[in-house]
Amino acid sequence: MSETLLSLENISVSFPHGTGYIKAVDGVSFDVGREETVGVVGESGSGKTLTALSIMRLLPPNAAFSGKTLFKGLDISSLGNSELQKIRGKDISMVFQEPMTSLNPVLTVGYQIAEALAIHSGISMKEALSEAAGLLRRVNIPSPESRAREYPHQLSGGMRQRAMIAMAIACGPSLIIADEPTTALDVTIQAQILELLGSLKEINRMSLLLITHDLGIVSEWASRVVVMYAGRVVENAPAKEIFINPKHPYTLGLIESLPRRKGEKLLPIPGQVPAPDALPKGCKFSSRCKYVVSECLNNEPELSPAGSSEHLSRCVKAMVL
Amino acid sequence: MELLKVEGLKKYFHLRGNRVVKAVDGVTFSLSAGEAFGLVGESGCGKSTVAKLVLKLLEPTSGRIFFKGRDVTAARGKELSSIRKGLQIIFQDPLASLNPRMNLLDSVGEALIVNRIVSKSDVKERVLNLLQKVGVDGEALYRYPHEFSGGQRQRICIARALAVEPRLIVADEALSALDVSIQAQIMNLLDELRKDSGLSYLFISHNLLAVEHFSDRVAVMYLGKIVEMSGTNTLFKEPLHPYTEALLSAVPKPWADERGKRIVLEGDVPSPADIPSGCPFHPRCPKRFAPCDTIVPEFREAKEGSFVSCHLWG
Repeated sequence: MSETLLSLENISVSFPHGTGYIKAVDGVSFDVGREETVGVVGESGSGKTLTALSIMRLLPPNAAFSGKTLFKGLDISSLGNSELQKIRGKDISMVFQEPMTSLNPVLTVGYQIAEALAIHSGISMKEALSEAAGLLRRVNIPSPESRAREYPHQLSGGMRQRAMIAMAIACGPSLIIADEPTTALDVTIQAQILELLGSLKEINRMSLLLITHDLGIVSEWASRVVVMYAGRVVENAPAKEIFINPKHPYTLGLIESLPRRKGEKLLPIPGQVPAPDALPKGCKFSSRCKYVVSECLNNEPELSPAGSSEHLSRCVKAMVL
Repeated sequence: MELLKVEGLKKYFHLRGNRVVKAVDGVTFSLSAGEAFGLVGESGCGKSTVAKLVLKLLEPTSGRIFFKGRDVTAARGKELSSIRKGLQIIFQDPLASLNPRMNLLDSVGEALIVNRIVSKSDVKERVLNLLQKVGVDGEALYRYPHEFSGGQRQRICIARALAVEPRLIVADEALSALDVSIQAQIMNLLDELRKDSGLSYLFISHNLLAVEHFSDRVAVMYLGKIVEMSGTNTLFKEPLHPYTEALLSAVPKPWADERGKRIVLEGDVPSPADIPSGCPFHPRCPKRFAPCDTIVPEFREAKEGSFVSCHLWG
């Protein structure tokens, strides 16, 4: 792997619940290398979005955070808000699922892009506004000068997401965190947006942390995949390997749930994700796992190498899957 | 036997200033008993409007719908309710389609009582029977929708649809709100019901992998029209229309050996209030040529059982 850009060390996010706390993210650790694309997959409630939000500490106010986030070797989790503000949108930026709710409806698209530029690079708002049109051109928005003067509702869903991406790349960040960037879009528009993100990543030599529930997307775009279940990382492996040779029953279950050959019965994972206050004692997947053995019920396995140092799995049966 | 027949169906919505949204613009297809017919397309193509028209939840602007030979479009009152007993729908968001103040027994039981399918004293037994069919624990009879997970709620909606013993279920994006592992559970359930009781489905979805798995025949819609229709295997292996080709190539696939060359279309889908001249797809079509921007292509049989509207196949 290339040099590490971002390193998450033992990240936990908890929320008050009754008299105590429940952990929505529990001890998550993984790295993102320079110019690498890492995909984080998991179903609703797996903690993937909270993990992403915790990097820039955009968590809800009642959330308790612990752990360490190292960005270019600097512990950004210990920074105060004003120092973090210098990093947000400049070195690390985010693209969210629903561009309509992430854009301000009463400001023009150009103004919103220019704002980030003016704050971070110290240029005047006038200069920033003319640069905004250039950025809209870079994300392939036709007639960018007039589009820059329009409001979010005047743009289509795909164009709004392009504008979000223009905003994200405005200050030349080294990392973009994209949380379900195409989930709200149609499949032909999704293809456009992913091609755009992929090419910008190459040209600007950025890293990309791609959060999604779509296994097809991570397989096509990520070089490494982190699979989350019940707030934990259960598998972390090169994308090329994980779809052919998964080493965790949950990953295997997700893959087998996908329709592949016509007429073949699907093999869904039985049951449903347990509520965060009712997780099983040992391995959190044990209640739905078809490979469960008695030792799974009492002790939660560590995330450890399965076959190679690049392929990590949190399962005692990893090597026999 | 033809179970459902849709002929020249149109639904226009009138906007201010004499503008007209042609949501469905001349759709024709039929569906035989026991068949699963997939309807795919992107947002705004009119697929959900077709679903609502088939159940007569909307009045068509023109065109006719026949269910078991009976004219749905002309039916009123008792005639309509008797047709609807054979024709049920499940929606995308099960939480929005269940009454939050009705427990499971009442939600499913209401369909039985309203349609006088069983006597009041037998409702509970029949509801338990239906729940067993869809895999919901009978212990949960007195619980409310918010107490169930998304997958369980969708099962409840299916049980409610099954209560009247329909012949056709319209599934309008019924999997879209669910997680991958739960989608597979629901798809298997729908498949089993089809095998056990010969149900037919009009399966509407933007999820092409699910449609390929589930349907016998598929129609692709674009801006209110069916642009291609054929058997599922044929359509997915040898798409004829350039839009179908692009749509299929855009689906991200987990297995590298199943990926073909990606065709990335330019631009957005035009507004259905401002449909391009000629072939509605021509502004985005990588294969457009002389007649495409002026002449509307006819929908014709290009190969046996494969229908397409494209000048390439004229």
